[in-house]
Amino acid sequence: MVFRELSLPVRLLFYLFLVVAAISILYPLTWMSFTSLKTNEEVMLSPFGLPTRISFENIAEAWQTGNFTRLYTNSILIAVVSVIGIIAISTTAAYGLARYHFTANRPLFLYFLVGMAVPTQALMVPSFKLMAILDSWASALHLPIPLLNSPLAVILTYMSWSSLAIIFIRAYFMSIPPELEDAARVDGARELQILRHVMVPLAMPAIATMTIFYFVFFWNDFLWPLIYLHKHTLRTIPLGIMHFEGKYVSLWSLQVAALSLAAWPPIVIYVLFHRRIQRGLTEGALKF
Amino acid sequence: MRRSTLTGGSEKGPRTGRYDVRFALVLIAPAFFFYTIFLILPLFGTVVIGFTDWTGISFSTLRFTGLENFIQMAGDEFFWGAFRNSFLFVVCCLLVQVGVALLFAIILESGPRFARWFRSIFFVPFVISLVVIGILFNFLLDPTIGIVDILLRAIGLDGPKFGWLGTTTLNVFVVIAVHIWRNFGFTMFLLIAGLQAIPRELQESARLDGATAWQLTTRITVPLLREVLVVASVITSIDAMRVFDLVYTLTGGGPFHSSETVVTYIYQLGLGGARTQHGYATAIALVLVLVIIGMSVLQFTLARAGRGALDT
Repeated sequence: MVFRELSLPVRLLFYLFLVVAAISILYPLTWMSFTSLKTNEEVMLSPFGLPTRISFENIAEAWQTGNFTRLYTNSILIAVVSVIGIIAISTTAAYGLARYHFTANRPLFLYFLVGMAVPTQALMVPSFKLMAILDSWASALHLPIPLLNSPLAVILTYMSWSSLAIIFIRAYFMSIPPELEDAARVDGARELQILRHVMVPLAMPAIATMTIFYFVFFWNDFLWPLIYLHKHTLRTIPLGIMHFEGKYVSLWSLQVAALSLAAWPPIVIYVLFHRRIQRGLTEGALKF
Repeated sequence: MRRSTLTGGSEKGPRTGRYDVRFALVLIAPAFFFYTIFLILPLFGTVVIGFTDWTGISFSTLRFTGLENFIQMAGDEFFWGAFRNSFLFVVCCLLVQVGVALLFAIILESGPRFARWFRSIFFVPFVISLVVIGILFNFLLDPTIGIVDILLRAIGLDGPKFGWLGTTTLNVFVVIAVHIWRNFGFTMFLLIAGLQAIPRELQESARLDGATAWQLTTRITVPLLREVLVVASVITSIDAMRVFDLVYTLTGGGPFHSSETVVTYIYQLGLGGARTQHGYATAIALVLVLVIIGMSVLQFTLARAGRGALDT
């Protein structure tokens, strides 16, 4: 189908669809941003107008009362550690499964495949209990690894979701011609060097796609921090926003400012890297 | 046509043979460790705890009750309500989300003006936290200050008295609409990737033979897109079946449990509420696991059966 060759009414109808969908997305986000840049009086007087002058009053107050410094630190810590961890262990496992012949290879691959079918939300009760048990064992052995009310519990749970990354990166490794490795091997490179200096750079598109995918997922996840983190000092951004809403019900201009503080960074990152992210998504979907 | 690596790639097995098995095992061990302890073990836990009446205080109170939890489920109207809502989610998302995504993917790939802009914009909600989206829509749908009701009043209509989310019948559909609003861009990208993999020559030759745009789309593009469509449908329905954040932030499952979904119900029973019915909550989780696996297998099987019918 070539767009230019369609009849005019059809083309106009299609443009209408596209524009309506785009407005439905842009309007709420613009309203949120404008509202958080207005003064309180202006929010009350003209809730839907453009801000007459930009004021950071509400943003600053939301940052303070919501303790966004802490929320950001917690979110970044959990997301970054989990993503580095899961990408590292998944890449090595994917390589092992893609390139080495041994009896257990296929059973191991099928074993990792199970994780694709399991909805992790269904595991919340046993996971929570498991952390409680491991925590009591750790304290009985005087090990300084707290797992109750600890970001470590969230990170460990995230790091068990490796199935997708393993299957995805494995498929990419398998599409790389083995001659490249053989050449490096002939040149005297050791197995680990081949992985680090030949295979990982070659598989970068797949690894980058998975990194973006998991980062967005961990960054936005709400359920697992909600399950594990009950102290207000440990809250991640989604948890903090949720509590902020409950606490300042009447001050809705402040609430919207808090929403902006949570929504802007991912939007900015997306705007900056949208080509890379989109390419990763489409290339990634193909490999799958 | 490229075959899904999930099925196609694994059948081939590793292409080259290295014999340093110990090194391979060392590479696989860390992922194996985390996966086994923090995913497979809780999965076993789900199976075991689902058959007990455990309240979670200590293991000494754990008592096996056989099928009691499942019998309780059969008579639990909230359980059925939650499942009905989750299925409603799946059906609506399969029809609307995949439908809209397919329409937009095809339109955008045919090369209208600003295609890149539209494509980029449609994906924006996917990068924003569902909690932020839920609270934002609470504002937009508010009966007094929300833009939706204000616009409706401007044209002489009235929204529901206690707001869109305050009704017991419409609220589920509102949550579903927000879910689709957030996710269709992602589905669209999967389908665009599939469209780009279709060889141009096929469409070109059909076009030169005088096929109309409609014929091209329904007879060539969509059938060739089938594998990707199946993957997109499976991902969409799994996502819809396990929805939690949006329900939690938009309605909290209320009013009167009317918008409860399976996962919010499990959370409420198992960890959220005052009473902790670990055994019962986990039994429901077990049913959820089985339903999701069954649903995915069903879709793949139907797709395979459909392909067989097409080939012959």
